[in-house]
Amino acid sequence: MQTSSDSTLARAAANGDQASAGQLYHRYADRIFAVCYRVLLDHASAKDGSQEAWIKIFRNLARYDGSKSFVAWARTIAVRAAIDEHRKQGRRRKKETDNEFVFENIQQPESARRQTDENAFELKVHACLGLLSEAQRAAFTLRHYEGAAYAEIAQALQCSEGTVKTHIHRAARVLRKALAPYQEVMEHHEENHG
Amino acid sequence: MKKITDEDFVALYYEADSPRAAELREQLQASPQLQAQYQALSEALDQMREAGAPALAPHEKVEQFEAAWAKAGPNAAPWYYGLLHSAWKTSSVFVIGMICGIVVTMNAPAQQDHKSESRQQPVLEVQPVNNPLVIEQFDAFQTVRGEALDMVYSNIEDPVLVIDSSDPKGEKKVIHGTSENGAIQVVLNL
Repeated sequence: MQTSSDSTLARAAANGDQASAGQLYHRYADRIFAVCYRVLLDHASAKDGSQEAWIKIFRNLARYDGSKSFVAWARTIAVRAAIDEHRKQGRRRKKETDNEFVFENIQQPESARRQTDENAFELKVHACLGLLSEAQRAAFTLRHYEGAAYAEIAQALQCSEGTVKTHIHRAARVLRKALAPYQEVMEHHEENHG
Repeated sequence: MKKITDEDFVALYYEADSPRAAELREQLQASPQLQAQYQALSEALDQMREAGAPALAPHEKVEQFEAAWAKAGPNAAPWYYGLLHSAWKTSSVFVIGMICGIVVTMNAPAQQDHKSESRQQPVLEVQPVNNPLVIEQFDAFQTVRGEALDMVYSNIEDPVLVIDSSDPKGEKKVIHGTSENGAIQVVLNL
């Protein structure tokens, strides 16, 4: 069966074709949810954020330029919806300004060595993303997980490319510091079990 | 040779094909310390990528799509409907509040007047005494009756004070009256 292109589906959905909208949704539901989840770091919030994103996507399908990537357009909407959701909730899991303080706690080798299984590592990554500010998480998510270009991220976050680069390199520095004890533990774990 | 910073490491990681990346790789090859630093960063970022994000359950996806399409599809209410509805709710609450405020403000002076009027009225109603005392004189006898006496001797019906001045030793004062609807004659020597 030949699969329709995103732009064809988007055009049909813009004209009210629910089946085409459904195909688009099922193609990108996971990616849109993942973008929202990595910004919001909470399943329920990500569900709300991604729902809001899809509402905006469907409402604005007529404005989508079919010559450009649908997913790039959709994830820009998603990351904005996630940021709106985050601000709406007025909730921050970690204070952005307390990053250095949190490093000290996370870099305790003893606490790190206790968590060696994969599930703990997922939690650790989740916690590491929580160390980043909202803008850093959004920029890092788009760059690292979505492979978005700096220009696209700048457009999504409504800031300059220089600011995006600053967000990303600060995020990378935070993550390197936070994951350093983990890397030791993982290497030790691999040596013993490999 | 330009000093390598964190930004360079990040650029090297994300833009491995750029001209700057080639220059950075040369610098890294010359320094095991820089190599270790870059390796730490790239491993951390790789690990971040390995950790996946959770996904919505199939039934959640169906619900989400249906809800989003219902709100945004062709049969959905216009996008501004929600704003208008919200504005209408807000404005109606505001108008009701204003009306309540005006009513309360207009009633406030009336209530105050009512309070000042009530302050002027005595707490207990006191009947005016129309006929406080009636004094009659018969030779050496003087009788006193009236509402003032009724109030003082409230347990006696129609009390009458008789003052006898006929005795040179001194006058005698006696209260005469009845009780139990006139069944008992009451005489009190004062």
